[in-house]
Amino acid sequence: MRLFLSIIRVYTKQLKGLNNMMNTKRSKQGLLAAAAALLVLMTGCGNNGNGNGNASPSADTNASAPKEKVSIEVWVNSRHDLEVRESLVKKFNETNPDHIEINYKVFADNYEEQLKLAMNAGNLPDIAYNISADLANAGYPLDLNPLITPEIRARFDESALTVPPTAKNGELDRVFENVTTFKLIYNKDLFKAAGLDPEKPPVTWQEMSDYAKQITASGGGQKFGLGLPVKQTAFWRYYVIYPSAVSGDINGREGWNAVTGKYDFSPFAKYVKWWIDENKAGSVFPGVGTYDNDMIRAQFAEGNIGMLSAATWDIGVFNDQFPAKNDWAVADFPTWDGTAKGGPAYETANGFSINKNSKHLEEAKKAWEFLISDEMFVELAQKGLGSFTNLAAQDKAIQPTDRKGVDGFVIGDSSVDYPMAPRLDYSVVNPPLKVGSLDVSKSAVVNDVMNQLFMSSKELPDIEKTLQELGDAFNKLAEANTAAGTIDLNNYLKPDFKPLKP
Amino acid sequence: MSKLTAESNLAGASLHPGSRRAFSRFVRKYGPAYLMLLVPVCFFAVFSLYPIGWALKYVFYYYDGVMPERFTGMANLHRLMEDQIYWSSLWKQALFSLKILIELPLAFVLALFLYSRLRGRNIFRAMFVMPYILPGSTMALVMYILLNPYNGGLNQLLLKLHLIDQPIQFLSGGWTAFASGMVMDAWQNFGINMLFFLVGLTSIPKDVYESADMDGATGWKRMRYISIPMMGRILQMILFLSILGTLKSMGPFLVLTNGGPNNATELTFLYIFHQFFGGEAGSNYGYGATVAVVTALMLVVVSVGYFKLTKRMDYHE
Repeated sequence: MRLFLSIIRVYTKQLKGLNNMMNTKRSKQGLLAAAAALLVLMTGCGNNGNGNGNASPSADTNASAPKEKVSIEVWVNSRHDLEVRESLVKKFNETNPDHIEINYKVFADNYEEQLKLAMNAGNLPDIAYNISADLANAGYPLDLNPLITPEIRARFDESALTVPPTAKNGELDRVFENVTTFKLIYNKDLFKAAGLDPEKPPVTWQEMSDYAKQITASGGGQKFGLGLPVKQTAFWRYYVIYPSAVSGDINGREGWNAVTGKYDFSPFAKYVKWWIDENKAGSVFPGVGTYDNDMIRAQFAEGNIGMLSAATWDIGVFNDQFPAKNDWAVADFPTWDGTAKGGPAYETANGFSINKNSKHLEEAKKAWEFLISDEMFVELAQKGLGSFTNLAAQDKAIQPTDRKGVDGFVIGDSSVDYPMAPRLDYSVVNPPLKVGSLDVSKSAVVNDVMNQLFMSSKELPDIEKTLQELGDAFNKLAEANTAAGTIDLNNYLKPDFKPLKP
Repeated sequence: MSKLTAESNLAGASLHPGSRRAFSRFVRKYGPAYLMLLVPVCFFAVFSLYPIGWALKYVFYYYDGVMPERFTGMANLHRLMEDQIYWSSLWKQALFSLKILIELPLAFVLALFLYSRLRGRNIFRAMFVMPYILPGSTMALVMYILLNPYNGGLNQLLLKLHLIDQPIQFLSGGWTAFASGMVMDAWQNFGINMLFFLVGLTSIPKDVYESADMDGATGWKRMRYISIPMMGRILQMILFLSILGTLKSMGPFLVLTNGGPNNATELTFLYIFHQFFGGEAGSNYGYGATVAVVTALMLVVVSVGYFKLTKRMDYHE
């Protein structure tokens, strides 16, 4: 404290001295300036000396050193499986005969920005996980098709190696390694406490609303029926778009209707309204709009939230990241009338791409082969860290029995991989189209529109009107993209698509 | 004298031994100062001029940081004219700057107290400056926890005092979120302004007060006719730094609300930040640069206008 006080005193005195400094004689200024300049010059000289590395004796020493390992930089944004992957990477680094050293770097929320900065600085990693469409379009990834040997093909489900319609020139930029399903999770303890049957999750949206009210009422202001993490507006996809699949309200991803070949967001109106009503009724964990997904998941793990939308990766989250202190289970999302008219949505996603301009391309290919090895996926599957397209990892015998949620997130016979939406180039229409005050300049505008409607507590007719406008804007944008030659809508059409498997 | 003759005279003068001596005297006297200035000028060129030039260029381009840039002429400016979120963010920024109405009077009154021979004044100084020293993001996180409607300290206190019967969702409501951020920012910055005011007060010569005492001026009159006018120059700077500081601040809102709910706390500089660092939502550096450049021009106008308006605050002139 005394030190802190003296700092404050000195600071005050320095400020006091400002006026006096103005009046200091010029000769003193000159002397000071000369001294400082000398210091700068000396520092500069010092740097030059140090920078003369070529002539240093260490260079000679290096020449006689044993063959150095080739460092392969791998960037990922996946944290839940970090422990397993890092231990396997460590083993690989110690044992591989090719002198490859994988430098495995994990990034958090700023992953995309880091990749962009690296691209502009010419420092892109040799291998990157989950690269964005922008990076793919910018020519980062190596086409993996020639690397897919019959041996690799035999080890994966067909969906892992299918080139998506969004791919550039039919190139495969990653082996799609994860199968992600989207489900409802619920706290069985809270169900019991509210007098509900913990083995009977809600079947209709009305039931879900009633259950949420009951849980909230019995929670004494500490427990709530629902959670909604829309500080990250991206989560509207998980709370509106994916849940709508089982009601048969979608024929494609992200508002795209692969049957009609048009965008249509109007089916989502009733879901947005449902959330508005639940929030008004006080069934949603308080502070909506100020919580991101981690915060809401932490509250679920603590046993303060009854029901949440979740995905396969949440198995790892509720077993490791935020170990749940309650008995929880997985269920399908409810429907409006209790009958499923569509299959639960799943997507194949994620994978490692190789930098085609890597300085160590051959070593990068070997590192990539290790990253998609059976050993890697089996180890991840054994720890319950996801569902995989790798066939060895799908073996039921290796699935952990002590990890909650594993069974619930497995793909069922009715699960559906919904058709992909066109990859639009939003810059084709510039200045962008508008929906209300929002620019249709990015795919996330769908989330922003839903968020705006929710936060303004709009009524159903207004919600429908706005979502109609959003669909119109996207259709105009798709037309403009077609005209500009950036997409071919025919690649995204599936006129025979049925959301419910027979 | 013709122009040609004048030029030849100048050339002749530069070669004159007397002039050479004058030049070497000049170099001896001011050379080190110019040498010293060279370093900051280089830094200025690299870290200020280059970014400014970069931003000016991209006003006329579409550039997302990945794909090659594309010349789009005036499209970004047209978009800006129609951008309701931007224009309303300007009003919010102006409204946010009104927090100096809380911050500066509080700082001034406290400085007056601490200028007296109050016991333990150094402890109070340290206490009041503490919020300024702590990192802003940490303070915002603490405030975020305090304002939490579920188990936040402030709501718990209000509930215990029976002042409310339901927790207030401070950060979920537009106005409450905005006001919370204003109060927090004022609280964080009043300490440093208090120090500036103290410096201003201590720079007033004691004999002026003694003369005023002899003339019978005490209390309010001393402050009104001596303290405030003689602090004019520093007051002008405090006001300028505060106004400009708040006009180019994103406040605590990046951590507290990230501009929400519904853009209610989307200040202009937070909006610019979001254009550059949109994350998975996508970035548009060209449009971000347009918003930044237009806003910077507005701030230049405000700054020049401020100095013209406040010229008479400086009693030295």
